[in-house]
Formats: sequence, structure tokens, C-alpha cells
Amino acid sequence: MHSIAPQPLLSLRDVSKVYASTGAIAVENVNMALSKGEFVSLVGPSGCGKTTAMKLAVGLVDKTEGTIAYKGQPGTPRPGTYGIVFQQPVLLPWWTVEQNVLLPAKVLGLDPAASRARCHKLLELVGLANKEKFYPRQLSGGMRQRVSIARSLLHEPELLFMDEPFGALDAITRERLNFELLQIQDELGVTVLFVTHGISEAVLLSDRVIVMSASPGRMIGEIRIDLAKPRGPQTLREPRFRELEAQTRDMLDAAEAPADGGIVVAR
Amino acid sequence: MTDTLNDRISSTGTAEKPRAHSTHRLREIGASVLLGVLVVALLEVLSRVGAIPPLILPAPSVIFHALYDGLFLSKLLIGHILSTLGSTAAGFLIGMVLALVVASVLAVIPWFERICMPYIIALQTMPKIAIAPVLMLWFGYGLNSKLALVVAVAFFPMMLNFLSGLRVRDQDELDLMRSLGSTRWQIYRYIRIPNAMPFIFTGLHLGAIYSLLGATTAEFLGSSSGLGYVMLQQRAVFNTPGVFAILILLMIIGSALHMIMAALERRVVFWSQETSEAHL
Repeated sequence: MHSIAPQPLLSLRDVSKVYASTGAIAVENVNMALSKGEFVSLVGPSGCGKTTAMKLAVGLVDKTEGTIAYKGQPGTPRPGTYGIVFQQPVLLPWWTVEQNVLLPAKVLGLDPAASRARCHKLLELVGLANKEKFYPRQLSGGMRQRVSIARSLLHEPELLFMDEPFGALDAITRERLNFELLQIQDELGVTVLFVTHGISEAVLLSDRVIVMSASPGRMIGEIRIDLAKPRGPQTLREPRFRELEAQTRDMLDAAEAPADGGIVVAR
Repeated sequence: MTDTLNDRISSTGTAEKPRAHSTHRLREIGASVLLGVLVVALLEVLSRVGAIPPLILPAPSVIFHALYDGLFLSKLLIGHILSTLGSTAAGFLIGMVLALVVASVLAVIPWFERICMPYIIALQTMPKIAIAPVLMLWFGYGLNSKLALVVAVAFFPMMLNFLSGLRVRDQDELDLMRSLGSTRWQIYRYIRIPNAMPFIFTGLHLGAIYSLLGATTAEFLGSSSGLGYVMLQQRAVFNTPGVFAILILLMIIGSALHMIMAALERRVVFWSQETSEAHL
């Protein structure tokens, strides 16, 4: 168990997003805090707004209401301080794997030599060291997503945002990448916000699982995951894992948010 | 898989594929040639037996003779070929640069594009032949007005294809760049231009053809050199073989331009070649 750092790295308070053109409420009353080194999952049914919540957190979507603070300062994390991984790998097909991973270095103007060294290290970490000169079309979906993860970490961000990164992959690859992600996060100590609609995935990976309701997206509750670390394939067999999975599932099935609008924190 | 790809792919046991593919391709080329030879032979026979009047469609052998004479014996055609090619190439390059600049500005500044679009569409739909007299008024009789017509004709298909290509079509790509704090210029350089390449080449293919058409049209309307001019001359003296010889020449030039463009495209846009059919 981590001890909670005194000040959250990123906090969202009563954030909501209403689309001006249609008046549709995408999400409302989003309250979230990420502490340094935490792995937090955002779980909810499709279309509940969890991706919107994530994009609000990084500032890719402008909030309608609420406050966001990064390291105590008001405002979303500035570009260059976070990494992002999408459901699609979003690799540039005209570049090699190496060049793709180096994209943040080119855009942010980082030192080329240091960046290249870090690129090699990250590709080793994701097990693609021998594929540096390959082009994306020569890689499988799982490999491309690994490249995407390596790229998201190139500029040494403290925060990593992942939007259903394994959603487009088959179940076996997905599970394998879950374990690899655990190792990466363990090795680099990066803070992660992970959006998914996979309950098992969320429970396996996270320190905390936040559950969202269907549209308009609202946070129903939060579950603290006290499974032992380091986690791995053995974790899936622990009885506690099943319990937490069930708790999360129950919370998700509870269609209505609590009447008083507060958050239910489960043990 | 094209041969350029094989350089990049590390061994995946594809030793058989290139050879099988090239013999397949060779057979296709052979079949094309055979088709052409058969058609020409048929026309020759029909002409000889008098089924087709020579004023309508001369025998292929007569056309060939006219062509041979113009190219290798009297060499009269060579100067005109160069004149047409010169205007085509110069007009194409000028049009291409203009098209790229205009398309880039419009792509990166959406509100400006919205303001200008009605006028662009209006100009595009106007038949360029109609403005040829105006161009002659502005640029005088001769090379400049010819060039101006080529540019006018080639500009629009190129610009519109470039513009279409330069749009950002993938929201994730845009979000990725924004997450890194990219400037508009960086988005242009890393996302817009490479993504636009297939569209740019579509534009270039069209631009090349339209340039050739524009040059010959300008030559029809008022010029003292070039293949269009020669064609008018030949028609005036009822030298039908000569007219057809020019047509053949224009087709050859057009095809050559296309092949050059296609080869360039394969090298530049290497990542988005059409997937080959399964090897049988």
C-alpha cells in the first residue's frame, strides 16, 4: 500500500462538461484526485463519458464548470508533463518505430542524444528493442500499442493517461500487455489514469478504481484495491481479486447514483 | 509487395514472392502489348481493304511513317515537341507551387478558407478556354499567355486535391500533437503534409495531364509553335496521317508523364501502396 502524498498531483473538483451547441451533459460533478505514483482506473459502461473525463483532466477538452489543479497550481497539466495513449496506436506510418517513439522529442525540442538513449531503453522495456527500424505496418496490433506506450513515456512525464489502450486487442494480448504495464509502472513509478470498461483489468492494475455511471457521466463510487504488489498472473487467482471484482461489478450495476449526490467509498 | 518494400522488411521468408510477382507482371505486360498489336493489325487490314476511308482514319503504317518522318528524318516535330513539353513542365511547376501555397494557407486557416471557398468554386467551374482571349490580352500573344493558360488549367485540380489532403482527418493524431504542445507549423510538418501525400499525388497526376491539355489548347488558340499548332497546320492541309501522328505523340507524352508520376509516388508514399492480391 502506498502512503498518500500530502498534495495530489492532479485534482478535479466538481468538473462538468456541457456541449454548448446541443446542451447535452457529457459529464457532471467529476471529483478525482491522483496522488504521485498511483494507478487509478476509471471504469464505466460505453459512452458514459469516461474518455471525456480524461480529456478534461488533460485539457484536450475545455471544462464548462469546476476546478482542475496540477501540483497545486490551477489549470490542467501543461503539454510535455504528461503522456497519452489512445485506443488506437496512432503511429505515423511513414516513420520507423524509433522515429515514432522520438516524436515527443522532436515536438518538445528535447536533446537528441539523450532522447535516443531513452528511446532505446523504453523499447527494451516494452520488448521491441530489435524492431527499431521496422515500420508500423510490419507490426502486430499489440506491438504497435507497445510502441505507443514507449512513445508516451519518452519525455519522462510524471503522468500517464491511457484511454482504453488495450480495447482494440484480442483477449490474450490484452492480458499480456496488462502484466507488462504493471512492470513498466513498477519500474518507472509513473502516475497513471487508466480508462477502461474492463472490470478485471481495472482491478488487476489499479490502486483505486473509480466507477462512473452511464450518460450523463457521474461518479458513482470508488473502490480501494488492496491486492499485494508486485502483481502478476498469480494475482488473478487470489480470492481477494474475485471479491474486489464482484464489488466493482455490483457498484457498476447500481444504475442510480446515491440520492445525496455524494460518493460512496467502499472498503 | 513492391521491390522497394523488400529492402525494408527483414527476412520473413519472402524469397519466392518477388520472382512469382515479376513473372506475373511480365505476363500482364506481354498481354497488353499483344492487345495493342492486334488492334493495330486489325486497323491496318481494314484500311488496306478499303473499309475505312483514309481521310477518316489512315492506315497505321501511314501514320507511323508520318511519325517517323517528323521525328527522325525531317526532324520537324522535335522543336515543337520541346515547345509543348517546355510549356507543360513550366506551367505544371508554377501551378504546383501556387496550388501548394494556397492549399496550405486555406488548410491551416479554416475561417479564411470558408470565406474564399465560394469564389474558388466559381473560378474553378469557369471553362478555362473561355478566359484564353483575356489571358492573351494580358500577357500578349506568345509564350506568356500560353504559360498562363497552362497554370490556370492545372491550378484548380491540384489545389483542391492538396487542400483535401491537408485536412487533419484523425482526431487522435491531432490530440496527440496537442498533448505535446505542438505549434500549427509542427502539426503541418509532421501530420498534415505526410498524410496529404497520397492526395497530393492524385493532384499531381491530374495536374500533369491538365498541363499537357492546357499547353496544346493554348497552341490551338494562338501560338506559332508546339504540337497543337502543328496539328492545326496538318488539319488545314488535310494531312490526316500527320494529325494522327501528333495525337499518338500526345498520348505517348501523356503516358510517359503518368509513369514518371507513378514511379515517384511509389517511392515517396511508400507506406500506403495498394495491398497486393494473394499470390496464387
